[in-house]
Amino acid sequence: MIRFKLTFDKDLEQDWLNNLCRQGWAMTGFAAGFYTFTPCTPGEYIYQVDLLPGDGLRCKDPSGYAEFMEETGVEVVQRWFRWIFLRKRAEDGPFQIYTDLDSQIDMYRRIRQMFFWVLIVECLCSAGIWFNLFVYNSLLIRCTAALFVMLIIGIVRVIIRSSRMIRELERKK
Amino acid sequence: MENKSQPLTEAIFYILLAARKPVHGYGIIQEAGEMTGGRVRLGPGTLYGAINSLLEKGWIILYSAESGSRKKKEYVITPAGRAAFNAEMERLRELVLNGEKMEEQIL
Repeated sequence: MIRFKLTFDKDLEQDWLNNLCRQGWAMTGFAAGFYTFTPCTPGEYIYQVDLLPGDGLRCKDPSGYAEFMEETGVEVVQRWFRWIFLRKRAEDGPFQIYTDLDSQIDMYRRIRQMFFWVLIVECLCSAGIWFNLFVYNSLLIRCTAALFVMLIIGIVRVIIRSSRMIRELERKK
Repeated sequence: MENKSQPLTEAIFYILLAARKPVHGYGIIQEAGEMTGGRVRLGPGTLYGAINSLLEKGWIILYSAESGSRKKKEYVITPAGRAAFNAEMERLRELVLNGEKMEEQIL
């Protein structure tokens, strides 16, 4: 089964993957919004989504991270730029990548930083569209502009949500 | 980088403790779990980040008995790591000693 879904929020994405797994569909691959699934025993795996350390779209030492995960009994399902999809058999017990406040805060900081970078790139890329929108105002350009606006809103929402999560976690400390 | 008197996180504490002898990542998770009756669960991401920061500080080093082989990476504590651990132990002892005054007041 192949599904297309655009999510910027990794927590929602994780819930979605775990939900589908409970329904008997195990995610096996991802690229550019397309997820592939194969049938599994309902609830066979627990999925976790992580953003690797790095800057922009480049990650720092992805093989070191993947090796470490495999060594601790975690399966690396897919890496896509800095996103990494992990899973573990549910029968092996609970699975949570980040178990203390410090590392959870670090993760949301990484997410916020990456999306901030994406936002700037997105704004620069869309500059030409805004110009064309005023000059030509064709249907195609209006659609493209709308798409960009949606993307930018999505990114801003993730940045705001990450900031809120960081604040909440910091208050618990 | 880190203030000497700053308390260690539980993750750091148990990594240093487990690394008194060469230990791999999964071994640290198991040992921390066993020692605390399952209370301290170290997630692999938390552990990975903590190990990297300890390697950077030079509190632990890679212990390679057979380099190049497909053996799991093992880590072992350094003298600097031991010093930091001992400083933390001293702080904790003081904490417990002072904490006992709570009972004295009642009597």
